[in-house]
Amino acid sequence: MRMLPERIAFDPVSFLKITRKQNKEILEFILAEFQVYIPLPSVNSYLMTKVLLKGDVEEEVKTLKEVFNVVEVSDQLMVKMAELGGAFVKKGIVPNFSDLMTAASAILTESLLVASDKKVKRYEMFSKYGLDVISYTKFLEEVESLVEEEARKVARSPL
Amino acid sequence: MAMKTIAVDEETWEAIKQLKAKLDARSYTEVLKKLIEVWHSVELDMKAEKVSIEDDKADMIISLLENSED
Repeated sequence: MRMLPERIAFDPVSFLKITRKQNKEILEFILAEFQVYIPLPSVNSYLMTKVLLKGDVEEEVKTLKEVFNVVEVSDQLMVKMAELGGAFVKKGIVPNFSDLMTAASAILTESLLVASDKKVKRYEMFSKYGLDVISYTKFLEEVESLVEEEARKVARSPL
Repeated sequence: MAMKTIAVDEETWEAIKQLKAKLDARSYTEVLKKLIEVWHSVELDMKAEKVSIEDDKADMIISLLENSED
């Protein structure tokens, strides 16, 4: 049974991991099965890597927008970030700006945030404000189960 | 189910007939469904290829990000 929702978002490290060449086939499957939202901090990490590779960054932005749903700055995003940040400031905590934008983007798009194993605990502080988060490793395990399920369906189909 | 008719030129008609035989498909609907499925798969392959990053370069940035975060 499918445990994952239709909408997912990636934090910066998990996005770089899933776009590694060795994960191309998994990414293809993810693009077929999910609506993928990319918060701006993840877009930035990806583009920094492209700069390192001397890519044409303007072209890379176009490509990213063709392939994924980039969560752009909007009034709603600014409001969500302020609400979340304000709630933490009341408790004497100032959240990291990148974490705040990533969490707010996932909450706003109602997507499950895939976070690097090292950071998943940090994102959990946003859970009481509506963030659903899963570690990258756990997410890949769930995707592998889905791949097996699909393979069984294909084996049963007539053509 | 209501059926619809589409028109194709002679060359395409011959090609699609051959494909139907090759796929052992029961109908042209099945052939077209298979073609659409393959097209989606090719499109996804192209998209994934476009956004793929060399492993070592991605690892370098991942390492920098993980070490720079508080």
